[in-house]
Amino acid sequence: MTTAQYNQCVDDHADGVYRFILKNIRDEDKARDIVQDCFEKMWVKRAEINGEKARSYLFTAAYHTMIDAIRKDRHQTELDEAAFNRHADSRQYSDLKEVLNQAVARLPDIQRSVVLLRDYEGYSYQEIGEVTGLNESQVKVYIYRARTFLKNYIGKMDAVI
Amino acid sequence: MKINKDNYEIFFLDYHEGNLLPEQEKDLLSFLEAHPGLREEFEAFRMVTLEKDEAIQYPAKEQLRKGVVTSSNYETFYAAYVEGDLDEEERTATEAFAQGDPQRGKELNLMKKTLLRPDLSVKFPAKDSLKRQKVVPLARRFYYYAATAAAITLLAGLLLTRDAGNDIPAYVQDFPASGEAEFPKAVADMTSPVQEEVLPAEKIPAQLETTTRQEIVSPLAREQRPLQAHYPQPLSSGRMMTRTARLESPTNAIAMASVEPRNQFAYWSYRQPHEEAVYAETPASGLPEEERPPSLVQLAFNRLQRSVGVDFERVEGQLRETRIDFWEVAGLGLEGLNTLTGNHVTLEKERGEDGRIVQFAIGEGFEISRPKTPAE
Repeated sequence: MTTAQYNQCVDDHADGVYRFILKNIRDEDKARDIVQDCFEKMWVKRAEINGEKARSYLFTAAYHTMIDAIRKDRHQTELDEAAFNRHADSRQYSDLKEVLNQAVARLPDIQRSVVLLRDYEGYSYQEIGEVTGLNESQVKVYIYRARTFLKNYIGKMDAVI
Repeated sequence: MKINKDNYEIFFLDYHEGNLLPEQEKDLLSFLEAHPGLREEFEAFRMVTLEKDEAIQYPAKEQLRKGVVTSSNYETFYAAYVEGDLDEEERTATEAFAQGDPQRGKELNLMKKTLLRPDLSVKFPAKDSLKRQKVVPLARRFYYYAATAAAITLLAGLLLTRDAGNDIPAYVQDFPASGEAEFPKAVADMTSPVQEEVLPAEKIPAQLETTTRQEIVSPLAREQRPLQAHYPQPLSSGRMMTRTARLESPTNAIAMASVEPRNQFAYWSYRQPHEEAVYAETPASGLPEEERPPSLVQLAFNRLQRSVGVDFERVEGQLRETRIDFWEVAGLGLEGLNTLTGNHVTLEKERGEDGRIVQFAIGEGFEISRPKTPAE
């Protein structure tokens, strides 16, 4: 990967990676750190990276860096989630997008990651499998489960509204 | 094969399984009549046959079916429908299932709404900070490049500190080793802390004139002189021995008369063209320049020049004409190193729009860059 390809990768994918991470961990500062960290990793490994595979490498690095960060902050995240849940139960949702965002936040980590990669980045099951280390069947199952959860969640909220 | 006491069990089993030919069955029955003691065993084989239990059924048979949408698997079909994983037949079946009940139809619509759309207004806030300008691989032969850098530094230092012309003024050579009494009176009488003072030429004391005209440099040159240190002996009164007097010469050249002693290892000549005439008139140390013995520095420098093959006069000329540019010196240093080592190491540099060096590379494996700033 050349320097020009690397910089092009920044232009093309920094926003996408940032959105992916931010949607998963909902912390702008940490999301920025993770994006910078994975781009730094890509820079260091650039000699081994094919320019055409840069996007895949980038999301893979971002995903694993994010998982490490989530595990590190697991305890705090659970506390935040508990607070969020209490708050969410009494909340009045104004539109579908907001409801959907809350539903996504409630997905298990792996289901959230695969469905975001699927919808945000348009990755195939195989590509998601490469990023997450899952096989295609597992990816498919997680996505189906995630969609079913989202459908039921927004259906329930729809009934509440 | 005929039935006998050794193989009758096979015949019994085949009889109950229905595998015997009519003649074999007839033989079997004749055998039983001849051996009534075996009839009980014959009947025992009949009990081996198990009857089907039709009441036992797989409870989730619907889930195993393919292409059939049911109340127990419709969510999977809905998800697959949204994902585009169904073939035409399955899509039709799913839509038909959804249309069969309002609640099922509503759920299919909800499933369609689970497709997430990225918020494109969310952007990484410091994208430029991620960009790089140059590849920075690790030096594979670090010692080699470290030696290169050391050689450049040494050469640059030598160039910047060498005596330009072995023209150490006589007043430095004759400078008193100690004691204010031996110091030229005209200099000692100057009041401190005057740095510069304009004097008409006719008012310059003869002794001072004799002393200072041995070297006259411009104010610019004085500013560029790197240091004024290593005095043989400071004056006891605390006054600086460095005293200057400005001369108004007939040629309208403003020259600076200096009596400051110079450390020959830290001297660099910046004589200007208009100074040369004055310089030429200056009584030297007693010997013509070409007859003066070279200094140790000059000897070492000459030897290095011969060994390396670098035209240091050209370097000096460049430095006189332009600002001292480290990169020029470094490039010439590498040139010399190439001659010594037989390698071909090059120095590449890139300047930004503002003229600053933004990156440079030595050879193929040692490069230094800095991240782009947002302004770039």
